[in-house]
Amino acid sequence: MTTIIKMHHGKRASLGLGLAMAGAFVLGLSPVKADEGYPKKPIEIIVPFAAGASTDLGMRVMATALENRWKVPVRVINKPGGNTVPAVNEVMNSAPEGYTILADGPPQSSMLETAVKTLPFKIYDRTFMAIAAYTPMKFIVHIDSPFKTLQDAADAAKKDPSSFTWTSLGGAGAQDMLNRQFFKALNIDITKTRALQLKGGSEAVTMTAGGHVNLGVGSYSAIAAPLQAKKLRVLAVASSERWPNLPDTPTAKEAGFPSIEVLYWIGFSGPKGLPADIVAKWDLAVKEITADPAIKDSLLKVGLLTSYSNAADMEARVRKEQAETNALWAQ
Amino acid sequence: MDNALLQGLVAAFSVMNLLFAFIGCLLGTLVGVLPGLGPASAMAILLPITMHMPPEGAIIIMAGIYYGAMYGGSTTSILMNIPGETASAVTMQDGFPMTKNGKAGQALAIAAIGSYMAGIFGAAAISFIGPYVADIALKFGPAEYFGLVLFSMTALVSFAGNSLVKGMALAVLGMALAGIGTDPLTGTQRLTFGNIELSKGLDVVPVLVGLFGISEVLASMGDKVEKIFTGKLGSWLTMIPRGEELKRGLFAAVRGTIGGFVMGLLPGMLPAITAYLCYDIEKRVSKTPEKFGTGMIEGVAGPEAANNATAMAGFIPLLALGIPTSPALAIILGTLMINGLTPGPMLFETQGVFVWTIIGSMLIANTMLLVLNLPLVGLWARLSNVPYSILGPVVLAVCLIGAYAPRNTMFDVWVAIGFGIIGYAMRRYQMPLAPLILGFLLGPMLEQSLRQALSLSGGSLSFIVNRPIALCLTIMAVLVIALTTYMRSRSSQISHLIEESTNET
Repeated sequence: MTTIIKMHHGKRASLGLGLAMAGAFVLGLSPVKADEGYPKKPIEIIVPFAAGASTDLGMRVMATALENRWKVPVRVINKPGGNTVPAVNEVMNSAPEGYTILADGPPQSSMLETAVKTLPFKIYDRTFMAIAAYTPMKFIVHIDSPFKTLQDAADAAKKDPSSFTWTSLGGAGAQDMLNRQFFKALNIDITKTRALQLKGGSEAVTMTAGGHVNLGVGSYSAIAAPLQAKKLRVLAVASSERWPNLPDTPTAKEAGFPSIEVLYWIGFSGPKGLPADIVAKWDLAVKEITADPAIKDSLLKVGLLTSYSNAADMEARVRKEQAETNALWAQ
Repeated sequence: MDNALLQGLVAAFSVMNLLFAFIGCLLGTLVGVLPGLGPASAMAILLPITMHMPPEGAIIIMAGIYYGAMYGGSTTSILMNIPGETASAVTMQDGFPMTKNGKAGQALAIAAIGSYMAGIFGAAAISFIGPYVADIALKFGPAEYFGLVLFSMTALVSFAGNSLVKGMALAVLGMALAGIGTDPLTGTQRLTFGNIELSKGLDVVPVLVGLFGISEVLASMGDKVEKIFTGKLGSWLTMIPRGEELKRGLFAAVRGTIGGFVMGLLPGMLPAITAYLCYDIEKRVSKTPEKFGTGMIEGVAGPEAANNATAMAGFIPLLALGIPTSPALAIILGTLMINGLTPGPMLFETQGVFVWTIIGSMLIANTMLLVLNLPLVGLWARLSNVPYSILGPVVLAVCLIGAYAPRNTMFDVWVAIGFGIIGYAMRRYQMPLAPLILGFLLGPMLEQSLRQALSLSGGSLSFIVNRPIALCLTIMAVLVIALTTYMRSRSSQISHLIEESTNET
């Protein structure tokens, strides 16, 4: 009796499977054509980091704005882990219809090849769409540190590199880029210094605030709270302009280090072969949303400044950053 | 300041905020009860909605989910031997035996009471000593963490069961499993065999759900369990523990509260870890340690109070310094920042009313949770009477959903199923499951803190001696192991003597 039922099930299962496959085949045959009514379904933005990270928070602000504009649900889905590779891979392999979008940034693009030697995809096999916002990296020290300026830290590092401790996030990330630029500007061999390897940006900030390292690095959202709690000081900001909430903090250039600039940006990319008009819609959306003062305000609250770049500029930026990353990590 | 306190407390009682607290508690309890689904998942899902709410409301809901989950997690642990939350994994050790003895109600009740005690204590602590103790979170550097984790590992001895060697081996296996994936410190791939999915590593939730949840269902079905408890259950009032039992339970809850709270101030000390440690403490201070595992009420009260205390303690570094001690708190931090609120002493000063509203709401929410959980104890306890042919499959389905939730990936579901089979095999061969999870949770911390401490000290182990806190903890760890081994050998000597003397007569 049981064998008959098993066979019956087996037959029904394979029939169902066959129908499903046929259906998928038919659907798959229809060409990816220009979509006048885009977006028609909910859009998913895949963020390769955990909820609460600055990319995630920035994306949530953008997602709400996009939702208001296009009147379809725009969901942020967190898929952390594996140096962003699994999440990027998923978007790369998804259907190029504009409903699965990657929250892009340096770790997913320009720095990825340095971090992960064997990738299951090519970095440029994606459709760049637009950059929306950025935040510069900042040098931090704990409140009782003897360093009052970036030059003080530089002097200490030059005097005795082997006991100079700093926060490193391992792999290749914006924080480490800043440190490498710093040591390069001082002509110090990074392997002679003492890096403290940490899991994430907020851990780096906590270690610095606790006085366990000489020099730390963080983005504004990571340092905002301990900064206000007077546990930290910012030595310099690695961008060409001063940070709005820190009007008295010099830029790295003003502090005497013009070669130091690291801007952590967030943007949007889609899988290869995304139709041009969908890209154009995103381009226009990001351009207009980032010009909106209310959005600028919301993004500033999570430590991001708006900065719109179109697809071509985005790709150019990624190429430039990649070259710089390769040079810095070559030693 | 006093003005802000009063204003805050009054605001906490507003209809809207009471409603938010209730929703948070309900969602938290639900999420806690469902195996695998944790507060972080629910909070991440709710995050977009909270962006349209006033900031106090958003934080009240998020906070309610967080400690509500600590209340709810014990329910399935006690009733079905399946942890609703990682933090309730250890409650099963004595909670489930109590259910099998027909005392499910007492276990659930003491879990609720212990959690309530911890919740109120925690809220009071945040109010009065919060800013002063927040600094402790910063003082712990890699060397101190190493000492702390070393000390925590001594708890393994408790959970090893009959064979210390088996327990240790499983703990090491747990550590190895935790090592799979991308090395968080250098980015290299470990044990991934070139597979992208494995490079994500194993998340603790699918492993837990599979090892404890799915394997339990498989084992029960294999044993042809009809119902978990076949006796008669009275009304919820009869289920409140009384007399001697109540006294022991309450004392355990007090110890759990203090232990859980102190450890919860440190980043990385998840409620799961402190629950394990407090269970271990209960076993050590008890007059009848050998009875643990058969249904001792302290084994339920201690860990449950501890995990709630840790949850509350986590708010101190969060509100005072902006340092999140766990992923769920990181989401609350994100919620604060999206609303333009930066945690820190400035928050207490400039947004005093906001902070006091939150604290006031914590008191209200904990009371709501007690009220929600106690009378419902009767209802939940009756689940142990439901035929397993219905209960089993439902639980299995919930476990699989719970495995998917944290990282939105089918890989985790397969991991859960895989570990379900492994867990089933382990049960058949009488292998203790707890050391595996403890190793899995503590392994990464041990490795990372050791590597970081060595990094800072330039490669020498002198950091153990140079840093006072680290030294202290290491000495404690060594003492604990020495004492326990001594006790074990003494007790086996004594039982040898007894045997010999009985043989002589």
